[in-house]
Amino acid sequence: MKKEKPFYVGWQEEMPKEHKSTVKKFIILIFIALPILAFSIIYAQRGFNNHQFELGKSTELTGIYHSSPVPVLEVLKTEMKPDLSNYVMLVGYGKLGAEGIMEDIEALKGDLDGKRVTLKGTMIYGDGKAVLELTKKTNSLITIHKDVIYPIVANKILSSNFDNVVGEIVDPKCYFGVMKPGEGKIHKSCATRCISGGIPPVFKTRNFQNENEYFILLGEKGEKINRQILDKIAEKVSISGRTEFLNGWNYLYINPETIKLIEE
Amino acid sequence: MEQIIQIAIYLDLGYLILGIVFSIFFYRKGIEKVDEVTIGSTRGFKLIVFPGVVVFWPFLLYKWMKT
Amino acid sequence: MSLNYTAVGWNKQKKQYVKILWLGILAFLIVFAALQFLLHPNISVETLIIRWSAITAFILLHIILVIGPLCRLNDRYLPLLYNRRHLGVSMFLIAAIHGVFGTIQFHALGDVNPIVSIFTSNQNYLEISNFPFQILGFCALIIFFLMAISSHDFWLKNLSPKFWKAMHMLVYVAYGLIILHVATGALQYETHLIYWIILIAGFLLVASLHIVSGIKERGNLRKTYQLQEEGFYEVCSLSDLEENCGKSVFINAENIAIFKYNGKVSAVNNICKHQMGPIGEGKIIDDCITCPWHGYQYMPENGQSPPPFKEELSTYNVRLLKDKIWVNPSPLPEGTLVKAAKIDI
Ligand code: HEM
Ligand code: FES
Repeated sequence: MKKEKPFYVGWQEEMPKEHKSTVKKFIILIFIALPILAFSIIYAQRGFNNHQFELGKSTELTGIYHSSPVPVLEVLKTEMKPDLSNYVMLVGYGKLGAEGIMEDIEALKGDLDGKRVTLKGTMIYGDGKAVLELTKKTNSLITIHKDVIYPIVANKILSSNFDNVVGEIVDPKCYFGVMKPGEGKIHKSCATRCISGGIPPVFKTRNFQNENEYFILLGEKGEKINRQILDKIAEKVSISGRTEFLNGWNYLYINPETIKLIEE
Repeated sequence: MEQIIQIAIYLDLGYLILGIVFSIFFYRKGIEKVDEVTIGSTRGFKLIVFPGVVVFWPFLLYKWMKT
Repeated sequence: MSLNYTAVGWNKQKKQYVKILWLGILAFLIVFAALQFLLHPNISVETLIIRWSAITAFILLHIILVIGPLCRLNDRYLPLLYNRRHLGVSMFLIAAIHGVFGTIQFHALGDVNPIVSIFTSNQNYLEISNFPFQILGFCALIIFFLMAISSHDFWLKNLSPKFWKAMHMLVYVAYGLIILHVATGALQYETHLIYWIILIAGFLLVASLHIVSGIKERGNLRKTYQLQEEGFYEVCSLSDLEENCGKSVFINAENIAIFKYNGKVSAVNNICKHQMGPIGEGKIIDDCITCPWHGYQYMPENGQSPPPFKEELSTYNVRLLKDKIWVNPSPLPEGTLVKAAKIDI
């Protein structure tokens, strides 16, 4: 008699050995392919910058609070790591700016502009720049120091005009450490949220030395333009405007309508 | 746009809450009427079909009403 | 096909299936994380989780999609099909990790509801390279969710097999959405050629297997049966059928399965009441026609499932003239008893 064709039914305890060997081969093939696939995918990744976000670790910083053009805390150079700017940009918790929090604090404690204060938050830093997330919201203010009033004029240099400089608008909180990657298409929606939530938009470009340069974007009269540039974020754009260096950061004053998307 | 989506989310949420309310009655009575095979089925079964009951409740309600 | 439902009808094979599946998922996680930390020590844990879960779900989706056509081409792959729902549910769970982390990471803690943000943070619907790719992933995840929560046989029965099948065919829509999700999302940032090669190769693999198995099935259906008498068509010789085995024939748009067993020949509808499995590729076990896909059983002479089950297939009149099998392709009502044609020896 002819041998019966092996037949598989799932509710049987054992499968026929013909089926078993086919299935085994299929599984082995997958188990061989997986590490190769993983390696090629990971090897081909662009890689990530070394920016840091000290999630879960809080840091207290003491310095002069500058409320405008964007909230910045000027700390002693000796208090910062030597490769980081001592003008620390302040941002809120999550995808929100620091302004709301600082206003709430000031409503309770009075004007803080130009005063020496101690703030607690989470450090974000990379590429020479430092950012402090006010993680605890209004509880981020630890002390208002009562000392002499320091003049806040120094450090202001008027500089040249920008004419169609090419770069990308990023949100500094993510870019300087919270997210990997914190720029480009993958991160576009997040950057849109952050900037829409009040975090100052930063224009990232490259100088002649092929180093990154960062400019906080403001309107021509120094007003916030977060809402007007939402559709230009995380894209290759060219920007024209007037630059200024103030409180450790570069500013770029622009008419948001003149930002041009560059097709690739 | 933002409002349309916000409304859609609320509508979906409302639909799912109705589904949860429905499931309370469905597990008490309806399930055995809709499908007698469920009589004597395990607790694990009831748990595993729960998300489906919350989502597909209009189908089950229709079937239940027909019995 | 159980007397009353349990959460999962475990048996030895199913346990093994799930064990190997999750062993693979875990092993891939370890290899993936180790390689990331080795080659890209600056990666953040969130990104690691988002990418691992994305790629794992993507691979599982491909495995799920090739199993069907592989089984049509060679029935030795059937053990992979039998417990495929576990693959599907696992794939959904891992895709959900990706979706939830992606939504929290990129959309939460902002000035609007994260789901609103998925739909509004980028509204370049008209540009391919700038397309809001998260929406595509979101819609695919909804489809996977609907499939996962309806994977129990209870739903197959109570949502009606037709609706259930239609809903589960949406997996192809979801697959298309995922391809676009990757092409307009991750691949706009990670631009290495290898990603495009992997994406396109995966698609070609799935598509070509479906086409080849489709052609094979079409070939079986194309055959026309000319000889006709009193509504009966000659379909084949007795010797074309092996004992206890079936054959699928397609006459006048009727999909019919013919079985030879115990010196008799019977014909029933070829489409299983469970998930439309090909009855004709089944076998007679314990005097019942047994569907090759999930083992639903039917009695050959009346098309009824043995009690207490209630599924019924249409039956057909069969005649034997010498060693030729003749079938009348007008279906009788489901469950109608038809005397089998006796083989004279
Ligand atoms: C709510 C739903 C979803 C959202 C918000 C979402 C979001 C994202 C984001 C932001 C990325 C880029 C991540 C990165 O590369 O760092 C991505 C990539 C990817 N997604 Fe999704 N996704 C969703 C659903 C899905 C689903 C259901 C799948 C199914 C398999 C999927 C598969 C992938 C794949 C394969 C990648 C590329 C690999 C990678 O770079 O991570 N996504 N998704
Ligand atoms: S299709 Fe599932 S048993 Fe026939």
